[in-house]
Amino acid sequence: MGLLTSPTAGGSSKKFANILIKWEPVVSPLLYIAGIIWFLALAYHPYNAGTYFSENALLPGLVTNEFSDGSELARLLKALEAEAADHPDTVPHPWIRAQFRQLGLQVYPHNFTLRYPLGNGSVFHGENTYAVLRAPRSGSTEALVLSAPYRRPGAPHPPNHAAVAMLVALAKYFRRQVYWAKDIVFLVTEHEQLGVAAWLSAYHQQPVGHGLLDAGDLPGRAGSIQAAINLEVESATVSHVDVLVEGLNGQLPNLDLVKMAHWICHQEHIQHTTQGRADHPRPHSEAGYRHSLQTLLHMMASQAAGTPTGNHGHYLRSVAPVEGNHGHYLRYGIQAVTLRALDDRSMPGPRSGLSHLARVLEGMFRSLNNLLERFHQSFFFYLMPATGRYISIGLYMPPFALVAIGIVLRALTCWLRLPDTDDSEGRQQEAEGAESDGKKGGNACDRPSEPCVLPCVLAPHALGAVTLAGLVPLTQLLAAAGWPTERAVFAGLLTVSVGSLLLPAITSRRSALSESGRLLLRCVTLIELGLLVFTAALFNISLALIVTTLYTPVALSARYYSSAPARLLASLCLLLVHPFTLQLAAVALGAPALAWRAVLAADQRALAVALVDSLVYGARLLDVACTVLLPLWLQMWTLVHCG
Amino acid sequence: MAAPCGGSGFRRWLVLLFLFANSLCSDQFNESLLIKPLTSGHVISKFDFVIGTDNISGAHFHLVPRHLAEVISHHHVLELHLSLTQGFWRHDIWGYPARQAGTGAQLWVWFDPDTPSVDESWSSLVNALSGLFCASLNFMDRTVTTSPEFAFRPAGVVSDPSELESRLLRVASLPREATCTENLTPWQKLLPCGAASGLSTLLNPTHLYSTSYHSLSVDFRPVCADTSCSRLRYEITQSVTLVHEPVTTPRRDGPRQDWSMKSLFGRGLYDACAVAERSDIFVDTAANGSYPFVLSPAPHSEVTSIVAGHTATYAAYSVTNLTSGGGGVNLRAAYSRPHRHGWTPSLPLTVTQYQTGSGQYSVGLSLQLRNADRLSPLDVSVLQVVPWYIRLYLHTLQVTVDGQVIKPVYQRLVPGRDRQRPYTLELGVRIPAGRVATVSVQAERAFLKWHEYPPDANHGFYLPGAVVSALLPAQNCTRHPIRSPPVEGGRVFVRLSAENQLVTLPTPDFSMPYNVICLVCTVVALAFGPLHNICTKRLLLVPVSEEKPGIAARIKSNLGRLMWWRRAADQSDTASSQSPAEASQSSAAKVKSTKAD
Repeated sequence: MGLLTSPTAGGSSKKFANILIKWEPVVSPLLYIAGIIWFLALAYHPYNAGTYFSENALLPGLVTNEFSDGSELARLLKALEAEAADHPDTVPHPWIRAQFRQLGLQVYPHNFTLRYPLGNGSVFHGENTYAVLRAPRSGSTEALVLSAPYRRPGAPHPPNHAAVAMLVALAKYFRRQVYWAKDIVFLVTEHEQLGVAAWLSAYHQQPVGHGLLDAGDLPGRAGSIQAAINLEVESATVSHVDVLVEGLNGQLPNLDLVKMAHWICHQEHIQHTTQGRADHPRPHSEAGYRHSLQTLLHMMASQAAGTPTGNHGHYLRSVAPVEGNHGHYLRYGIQAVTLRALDDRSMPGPRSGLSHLARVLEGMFRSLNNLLERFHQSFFFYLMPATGRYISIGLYMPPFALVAIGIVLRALTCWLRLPDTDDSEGRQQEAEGAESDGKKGGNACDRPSEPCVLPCVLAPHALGAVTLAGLVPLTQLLAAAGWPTERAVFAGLLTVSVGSLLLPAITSRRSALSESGRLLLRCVTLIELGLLVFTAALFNISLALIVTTLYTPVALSARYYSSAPARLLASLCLLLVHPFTLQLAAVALGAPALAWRAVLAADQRALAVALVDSLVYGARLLDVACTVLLPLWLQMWTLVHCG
Repeated sequence: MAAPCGGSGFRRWLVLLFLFANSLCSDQFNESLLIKPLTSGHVISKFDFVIGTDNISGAHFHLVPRHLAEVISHHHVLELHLSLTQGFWRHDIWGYPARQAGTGAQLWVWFDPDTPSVDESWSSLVNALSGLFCASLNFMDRTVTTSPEFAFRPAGVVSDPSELESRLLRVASLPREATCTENLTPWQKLLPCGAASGLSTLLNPTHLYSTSYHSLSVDFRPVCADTSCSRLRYEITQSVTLVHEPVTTPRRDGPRQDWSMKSLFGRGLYDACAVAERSDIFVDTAANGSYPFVLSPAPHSEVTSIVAGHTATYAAYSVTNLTSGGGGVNLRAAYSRPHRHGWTPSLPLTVTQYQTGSGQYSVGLSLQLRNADRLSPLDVSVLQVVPWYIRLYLHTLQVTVDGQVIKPVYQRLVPGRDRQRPYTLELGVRIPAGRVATVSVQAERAFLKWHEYPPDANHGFYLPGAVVSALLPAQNCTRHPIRSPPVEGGRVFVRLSAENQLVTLPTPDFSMPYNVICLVCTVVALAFGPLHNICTKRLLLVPVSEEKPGIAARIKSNLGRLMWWRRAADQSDTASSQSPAEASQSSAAKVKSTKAD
């Protein structure tokens, strides 16, 4: 009967506090280790779940796919390749449009302009072509999109002519079918993801990129887009199809769509992979576990990056596969995946032809055509250790919470250890503490008896905000001096990172921190870190888990050590997890064979790309790193160096 | 009919009766089929079945379907226009429609000025029509019904100016309504010949429902009986509009867009409806210039129709003559040139509607009006009805041309009210020559009550497309050679529908409430008992006194029985006065409920 009534009351909170203060230093590391072990165990086949169809309306693979016009496909591919060779500097829009128009589709152009914000600021123009197959007897209220980026012969990426040819061939086939209930949009984009981002922005009349991207308007539309498939076909023979899922800011498409893509590939006997990795034949074995763990880590690395930037030569490119254009659909609530058909020599098994792949797409579109409601049934938050397995949010959250709970417990301990006199004052402190939590500890100075930690908290945050805001003007300034953008960004961030190491000296000169002041600063720092990782875990678990795993040990041990070697060790550990160092490490991990000079160059490029992603597409990684992670790191650095 | 002389009295009486009935009966029935092949390869076919009558409210009917006439007269209806449509009329390819019909069901009715209560008549009428046509017209309640001022003016004769007040008009549409054979069958039963003979035998459901667009409609209106218009007649027009996708037959030198009755309707024509005064087939030969075709059998005559300065020629057939030879007739068109896709008409006005924005909170509606005429501006009237659950921000309503905000010629806004009436926007826009005007408005998506969601809540909610009216040149209209559309100032009145919109509303996870309800019920059940006990009960020890009570105590106890609360207080006093040892000795302890302070 004692349910909901506290077994202890009154003065026993002191007892609880004492227990917490006594045991927390032991419990937190234990929980951290347990959490990591638990999470790693989730990759093991029996500990995760098999994917399944939640949305019964999809009815995947209930029909026999009938596309068989392989010769037409080959003819189109040949014609397009000839056209591309004739016009190496432009997109053969006239040819593409003529093909669609001959089929009786409504064909529209779309122009967009990007004012590149960095450096000297150049202007890029682009043009997309899209054709709409109007479904008979429907009111153009719903649509599906099949898109393919067009790549010029000299582009850094493998050509994608086969995908464009397949769009035309499928349009021809789809045109003759009577069962369509949704309009189908065939979209050929230019400038990789920029084209898709601009087209979607114009379709929804929703500006992106802080006014840098002028998306224009579309002459024709097809209702609310239900799902999209982005297609990349690198060669005429296909060893396997890779299904790319990670989108902008770590968003993922509905698991039903992903399952459907894998399932139809499976039905058509095309080898299908996730993260470029096929399933292990014996997932229960130790080798099988290691295989799925690697796949899981690949997915996490790719999701943590949170930017569909593969086409720019992302710094994680060699770790994670190139991210596809589908990433931009997700922000509009359109479920999308990229199917990337490759001919990988190292991949065993038979090769398939293009008409085989066309049947896969036919199957997917016929399935999507069956949809009665938007995708909403299955998971939006998951991790995939194999093509047919998933770890849902319900499975990965508890281990994540274990990894991160140490931060919260330590913050609580610090708060409890703050000297207080009697109950009434304690209550007052609590109230103020709650307030200061809300304002990142900014109000700590309201207590005259406490040492002032305000500058130690505000100064790093101000520095972070100024850094982020100052990068664009800096590149413009240095461009006048002849510096390339990449080097300017790198130099700017390096200067801030090195210069800010002196911050403790400046802030602590103004107000030396006492013991309790340091405790309060620790508490505030830990609470802010906890806030960051738990919030991030809700939309990008990979990023949150990586940050938590790296930052929890240093955050727990960040305090002033009186012995010099210990302080040096703590400083070294902190330097290892500096956001700048982490970024460099990620690039180096992605390119292990490169020399340091090449790694440095790749790092410069990656930073510039991250800045462009943040400005044009709204990728949030750089913003968070500059405005939250860097200040947090500086607060920890202050803690270690404020004797 | 000559009366036979010298026949029996009975026979003479019969013949007289027949003549009398015929003279009484003024009903006329005409049927026609208009086939309009387009250069794009699409074939538009429009069936019209027109019944004219002098009397709609009598007790005797000849050709007029009685159940429809009764519904009309009982509800004081002056004009009724109903359409059930599947597919969207793509005017950018097919030109302007002969009769506007938004996707789904659309009904607009003018009531008689003497109607006691228009709202009650409307609500009763939609229920009656719902039963008559097997459609969900009964969902046209006040939340979707509106009375616009400009868009739907009477199509028939107006005998009194008081009949023009918009309070007598009710317009509603159900954009989600699907049309199928269940609607076609009752519709066909209204025809004098049903589906038994005449042109309506061509309405073969399997072929009808594989077209790109099909629309069933019923229009009732008063018309002039003679040129002086001294007398009114009534006209019931039942029509079916179909658009067939281009069907090409492969030939050696390229595909041809040949069509025939068999390819379009799945069968040939065997006879005309016996009671029809006229039964005609017209083939619009406008596309003959770009893609010449030869009709077989050869047309009986050529009809030329001049409307608003535009001449259209039609190959005309009389069905009676066509089928007089017995056996089926399959009207065919054979083309001499290969068919090419990609032809689109150049239209003076094109209209497209779309929604803007993303997410679950706000949404925008935009309507683009393109005036292709580079020389003169174009006046259009726009009607947009939006259900209440898309809450419009009326201050964001604006008309822009090339980014410049322009002032509408007129505007009439009726704000919606939750669960009561829709938002109605009526705008008059003058589109500058050769420009695109965009009417845009921002809105908020309402969060419905959980029982207001349909079973497929995640499908989204349909918004009826805007209705745009304008006076346009007659070139690109699908029009009947005999019954011409309304003309004003050398231009034809055209009404167009824009696309319906599918809007996602914020939808609760309907599997979640179940879990939550189960969990909450369990928690409440477990927590309520202890909480209730803690709050309301006190544990008390009641000793059973062993010594014999005195008289005073007995009286007191009897009094206490009357005043139980006093007794409880006394007993607690007694209990506190006893030592714990005594209390534990007492064999009986009672728990009393007292109200906690």
